Amino acid sequence: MAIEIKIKKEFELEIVGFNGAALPLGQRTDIDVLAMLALQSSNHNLLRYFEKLPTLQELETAKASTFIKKTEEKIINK
Amino acid sequence: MLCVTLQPYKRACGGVTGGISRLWIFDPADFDYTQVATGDPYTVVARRAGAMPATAKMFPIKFQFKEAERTWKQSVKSCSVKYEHEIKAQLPQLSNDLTVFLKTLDSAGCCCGLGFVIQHNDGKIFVIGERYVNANAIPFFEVKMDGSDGASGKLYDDFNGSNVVIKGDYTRELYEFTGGATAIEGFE
Repeated sequence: MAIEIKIKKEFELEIVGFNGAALPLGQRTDIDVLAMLALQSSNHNLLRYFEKLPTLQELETAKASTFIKKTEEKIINK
Repeated sequence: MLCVTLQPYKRACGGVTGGISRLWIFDPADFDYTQVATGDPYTVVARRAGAMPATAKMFPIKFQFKEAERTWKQSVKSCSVKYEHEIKAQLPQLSNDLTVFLKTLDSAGCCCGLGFVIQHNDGKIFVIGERYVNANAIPFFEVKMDGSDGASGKLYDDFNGSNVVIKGDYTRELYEFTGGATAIEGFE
């Protein structure tokens, strides 16, 4: 299931430090991590960056699906 | 459990190292830390609304290698707990730059408090003096410079510089920041 997470245009250059990096939000490939932390903590300072944000359950389901897919690929490639 | 919920303390077996690798100073009014649940480490650091990138920075402090230390002491009176935190760092060479730097520490300590991010040599990163967590103001964690000294030395190989001492009392030991040192460097 594809989930859509969108950063508001005015925050694409915003620097946020998490997950071992501090690139501008528009360049981050791990924005799902920030989305999950923002939802889990209900931190309004982080939630304000997002234009579109899935629910926590949708994010967790997507994370689990990705993990299962990667595990299956590893088993097939063995 | 009949009185209080305790929990075990354990760590993976292995060596550990002492000392501090890096120090950054920040204005506690500029940054917000994210903590998913009380007691969890901080995972995200971000500028607060209105904090300008040109001035709201993590300023690195270049201290003499192997000459910085973080200590704390816990005490209790009745049920009231106090943690006395202290950071000591040796900054070589007395200079005008050092004078100005110390003046800014004095001013900030008097007016708005100081925040520090401390990376230990074992890789752990701690935060002291933070004011905002999950976009909420936490109880005031007042940190200021107190007890610093300096000397020119007498001989060529005597120490010339300052021993900066930072102090702050709080209700607990410091929380860890697990977002990594690169996440802090991005704000320099």
